[in-house]
This record gives sequence, C-alpha cells and structure tokens, in this order.
Amino acid sequence: MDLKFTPEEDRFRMEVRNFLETHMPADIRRKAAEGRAFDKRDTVTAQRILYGKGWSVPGWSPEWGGTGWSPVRTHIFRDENYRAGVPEPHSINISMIGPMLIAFGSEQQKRRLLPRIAAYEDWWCQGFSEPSAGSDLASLRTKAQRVGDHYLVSGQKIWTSQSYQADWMFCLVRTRSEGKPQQGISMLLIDMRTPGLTVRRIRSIDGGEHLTEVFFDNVRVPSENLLGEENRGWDYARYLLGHERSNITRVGLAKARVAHLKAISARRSSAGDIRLDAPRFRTRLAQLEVDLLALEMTQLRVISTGGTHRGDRTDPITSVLKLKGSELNQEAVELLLSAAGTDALYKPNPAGDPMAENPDWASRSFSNYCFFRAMTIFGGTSEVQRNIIARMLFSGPAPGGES
Amino acid sequence: MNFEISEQQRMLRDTVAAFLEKEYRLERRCADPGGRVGRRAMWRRFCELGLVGLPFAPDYDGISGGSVENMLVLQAFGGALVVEPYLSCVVMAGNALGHLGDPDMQRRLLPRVAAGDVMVAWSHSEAGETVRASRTAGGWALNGERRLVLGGGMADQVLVTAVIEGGRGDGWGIFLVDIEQPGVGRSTYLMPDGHDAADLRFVGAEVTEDRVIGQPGAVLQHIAWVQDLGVAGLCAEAVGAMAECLRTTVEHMKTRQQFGVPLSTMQALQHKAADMLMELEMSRSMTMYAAACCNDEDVAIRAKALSAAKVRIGQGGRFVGQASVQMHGAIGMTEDCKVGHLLRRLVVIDMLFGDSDAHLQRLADAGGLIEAATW
Repeated sequence: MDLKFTPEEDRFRMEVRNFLETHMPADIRRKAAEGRAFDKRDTVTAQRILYGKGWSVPGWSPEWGGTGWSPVRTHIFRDENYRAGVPEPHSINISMIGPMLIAFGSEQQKRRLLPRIAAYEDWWCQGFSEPSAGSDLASLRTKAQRVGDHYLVSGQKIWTSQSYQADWMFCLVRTRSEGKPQQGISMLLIDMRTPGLTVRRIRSIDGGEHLTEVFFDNVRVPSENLLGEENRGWDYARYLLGHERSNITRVGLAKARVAHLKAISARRSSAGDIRLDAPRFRTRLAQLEVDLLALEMTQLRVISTGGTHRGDRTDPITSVLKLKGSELNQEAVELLLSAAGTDALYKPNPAGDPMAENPDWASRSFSNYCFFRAMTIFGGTSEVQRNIIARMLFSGPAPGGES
Repeated sequence: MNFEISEQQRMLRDTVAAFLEKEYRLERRCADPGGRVGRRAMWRRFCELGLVGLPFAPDYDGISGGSVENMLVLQAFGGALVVEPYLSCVVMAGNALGHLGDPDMQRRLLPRVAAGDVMVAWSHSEAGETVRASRTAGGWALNGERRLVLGGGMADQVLVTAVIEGGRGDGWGIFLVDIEQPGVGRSTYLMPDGHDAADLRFVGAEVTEDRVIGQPGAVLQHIAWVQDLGVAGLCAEAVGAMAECLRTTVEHMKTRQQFGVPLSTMQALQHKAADMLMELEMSRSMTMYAAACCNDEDVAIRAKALSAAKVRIGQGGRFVGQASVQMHGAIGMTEDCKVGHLLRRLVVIDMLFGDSDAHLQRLADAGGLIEAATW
C-alpha cells in the first residue's frame, strides 16, 4: 500500500498545470475566480483547446480519441483543470452519449457522431425525465411508434438542461406498453432541428433558465437513429450509472471552491471583518476540508488497484460517492455564501433584477447557493441513492472485514 | 497510487481473523469482564502467533511490521472487541523499543517482550499532569504523576516520557521504568470499554542510563512519531468496530420482524443503514491514508493528516456506534448484545489522544488542509 503519487505522476501534474496556464484564455479562468457561471461558448472554447492536445476525451477508448491514462492520471488531470478554473467538460457529451455510443452504437453511428462529440462540434442534451416520471423514470410515457423506416415520437420531456443550444438529444422513449415498464423503453438519437419539436425554457430559483421542457408532436426520427436494440434502452441508461465513477464526486470542484474561499475569507470584507477569524466559520471550513479529504481518498480508492472489495454492479460505492460529493459541494457553496455575508444581499445589478448576473462574486454567491440545491436532486436524488445503497447492503455479501 | 496489501500482509490479516473467530468470542468477554489472568493468557496466545513482536526486526522474532501491519491487526481486533492492550504495548511501546532502543537494550529486552514474559506499556501526556526527570549520580530520577496509562494495569514495565528538569534540547526524555521498582505507585482500573488502564505516581523513581531510550533532549520528534502511530492504530481499530457494527445491524435488520415485515424493508431504517455505510467507507479511506502518512518524514504533514483522520473517525465511529444501538431497539441496550460494547469502545476511541472537536480546532487554527488560491 503506497498512497504517494509517483514522480512520473507528479511530472504529469506539472505538465498539465503548465499547459493550462499557458493555453487557457485568461478571461475564462477569471470567470471561475469570480464565481460566474460558464456558458456554452466558454466550455466549447476551453474544451477545443484540450481537444487540440488530444485531451478532451481522456476516458474514452483510444480507438475513439481516449488517452489511455491510468485512473489516477485522469484524476490528476481533472484536479488540475478544476484548480486552473477551466470549465468542466460537457458531461452529457463526454460521459454519457459518448460512452454509450462506444458501447452500444452501430459502426455507422460511431463514425458519424463520435468525432463531432469529442471536438465539441455537436452539443448534446439528455431527454430522460418527464412531468410524471422523475425518480420513477421507468414510468415514462413519451411514445415512439415504428412506422416503416422511421419512428414517430410524441410526448414531453422535462428538466432537459440547455436543450435550446443543443444539436442532438438522446432520448428515452416507450416502444412497448405491455410487460414490465423497464422492458418497453428504447433510446433514440434525435436531431433537435427536426420539425415538431418545441422547447420551452423554465426559470429556476437561481435566476437562470437553463432547464427546459421539450415537446414532441409526431417528431420523425429515422430508424437508424435507434441506439442498440429496441426495448433495451433501460439497460443502456443503467450502464451510464455504473460507468461513470471516476469523477462522480466532483471533489476537485469543491476543493477549488475551498481554495478560493480561503483566499477571499482571509481578506477584510466590506463590513470590516475578516471571516476567517470567526471561530465557527473557521471550524466549519476545516470540517469541510476533512470531509473532502476523506471523499477524495475514497474516490482514489475506488479507481485504484485493490481499492474496494467489490467492483461489480452490486457495489454501492458509486452511490456513496455521488451522495457525499453532492452534499459536500453544497456545503462549499454555503460557506461561500457565509463568507459573502450581507454583501450577498444588497447589490442588485443596474437592471434591477436581483437574481441576474452581477460582476461581484459576493452578490453572485446567493444564486450559486440556490443553483447547487439541485446537486442532491439531479443524477439520482440523495434519497434514491440511499435506497440503492440499502438495497445493495441487504442483498449483497456482508459489508466490512476487508481492508 | 496503490491501495493493495501484499501477499504477506494478506496472510497476516487472515491468520488474525481466523484466530479471533475461533478463540475470541463475546461470551468469553462478558463472562469475565475484569479477569487479568485470562488476559495475560490471551496475551501469550498473541505472542505465539508472532503478533506482539511484529514491529521488531527478524533478529528479534519480528517481521519489521509497519503502520500497515498495525492497521490490519488492529482492524481485526476492533471488530472482535479485543481488550488486551495491543495499541499501547505493541504499536507504541513496541515500536519505540524497536526503533529507538540501543542494541544492548534490544538484545536484553525484545525477545522477552516478543515471548510475552514482559509487557511494556507506553505513556505520554503533553497537557496537565507532567512527570519530571532530574539528573542523579546513577542516572535519572522521575517525579510526578501520569494518569490514564493504557495497558498500565497489565504491564510490568512502562516507557514513560518526562520533561527534563532544567530543560535540555527539546526538553523531553523517554525512560523505561519497572512498575514494581521503588518509587513507583500504581492504581489500576477498567475504562468504560473494558480496557485496562492505570494511574502512576513517581516519587524519586530511579532510572539507570541503560534504561534511557534515545538521547534525552532529542526525542520529541520520536515521541510525536509514536503518538502518530497510536492515533493511526486507534483509527484502524475504530474502522474494525464500525464494520462489525454495520454487519451486525444488517443481519439484525434482515431477521428481525415487526408489523409482519423484516426491518430491512422499512425505508427510514434503510436510509440510516446507508448513512452508516457512508461513514464506514469514509473512515476506511482515512485509516489507510493515516497508515500511509505514518511513514512521512514531514512532521507537519503527518500531524495534519492524522488530525484529519482522527476527526473523521471519531465522528464516524460515534455515529455508527450510536446508530447500531438505535437500530437494535431495546435489545441494543442489553449487555448481551454486541453493539453496546462496540459503541462504548468507539466513543472511548474518539476521546483518546484528543477527541474530534479538539483535533478539528487544531486543524482549523493551523490553517486547514487546502491551500488558498492565488488568483
């Protein structure tokens, strides 16, 4: 057991750090420091720079542009990106549709779509949830009727993030009503410009309008846009859940936030105090750092050799990582709000809308706090994660005992 | 980065597990809670397995066991509720003797320790009560009091740290004292978790030069290292106890029925069990990290790492222990049930060597773990 990074890994870390420092545009990196949200343009710009270096899809198989890095190297790479304030990869592209196409797509689909995904020429969105199918996703009702060489899709999706700027959607649809709901679901790849498709933006509590409803009115989808086999869509969706474990915690994001928080809370605020001097704030911050360290060690344990006792699908550790990571990210944002103090409350922007974009990190910390309430809801609510963990606890072999 | 243990370490772990499964059951402990004779006999069994001499070099019947070996043994001991003072006598005193004792002392003492003929406990305290060492014609004399010496009830000898009168160097020395020698008084007791401890009084207790460990005035770094080994060891023991809490609770929930259904079908209880697993996994990771950090030469890094581990495991252990009693209902409140014993040990572990609040405060005041951004 040796938990130190090797000299090669340290050299790699420096290589990544130097590359990001010299190649990433300063205006994008400053956005992270100021707590401003990245937009699509920022993400595409930054990720295309990484794409140029061959680094935009490190986790993919090398045949399709992956780097073949060890899990620890990938972790280091992501850590450095967070540290440098680089926008996260568009996870729908890189961690969802990309791996699903590689695993289940036809050769034609792969050749046509994967290079465009890696280069951020296409922006994808995810059509899963519906008004009556959230945590109970299998009860979805959007229908796809096979007619000759195409499907006709009718129904509605909700909580689809940024569909108004997407080129493509991968969409779970019902292709069979008899039998178990999970066994009548297919996955279709839908061009967002297809006639019959309407997008309505939803205003959320953080002031943004990134969530949407998407309505399908007899939308014509060519049958070659079916991913894999008909009625196997649920399996492909579940594949996603087990597949993406390497950054499910987003622990690097929380660490970068804490690093930022330490710098700003050490300065005198406009109220005249130094937040870091307050014992309770300082202790709460130390607690978060301890918990982040424990989480990062657990993440590393999961991705390293000999780390966990079970690597199979009955391993509840993925849910543990997602649950804990989402809660700690929320705590980080709460502490940022706490550090902002009343500066978070009374600096409306000139247009008068108190929730709109502001140049000052403090007044943006309130909407960030609101935005992050979603972390324990999307991607499987914390309650569902606990259900999953418990189910595996009570059905699998007895936990504990192994080191 | 490699979390795997070696084949030899695996064998050690499995040997200890098999032994405890066969010879260390809760009923035995409940039947004879204070029996010291039974404990000495068990200590000899540990010696037969080579566990007591583990940290020593092969010349002295050891395998030069390090922090990972400590972790594996203590994790198993934690789950089995072992009360014999392995932490104090092997992980702490054993390592101190094995790494700091001069060759003569090692030749005289280590084989006897490994065989179980003599038990040596470790005793250090920074705050409050101090033991002072003053120079005499024949060597040194110790005066003062030391409370809560772990394993002090069973031990024949104690490695005592003392402040050097008049100051010298870093101001500390380590002295080997015979409990039965003139000038040493002892009162023994059991802690709430069934482990034995002692308060020691020193009145002009003499220590000859050949029983001084290391260079007086130049041992504080070594004391810190031994204390860190102790903290890492406690974390490992806690993880073992937490795992046993969870295992016992899951079993209970599967079999116990109320309202016509097993407890395991009730969502509120399922969620609590999920939270127990999360705490266990976080603590398990931090225990591995703590064991790895014991080998780090950077004292500041080590100190922060071990404080962080102690915080997490103190909090996690208390949570898991409490939850397992809760989930067992009234049965969990009985002495016949294992979880009450596990809870008591987990809480004592939190309270030893600085509780989680103290370590958290220490970390906070030292600037935490993550460096401030420099945009």
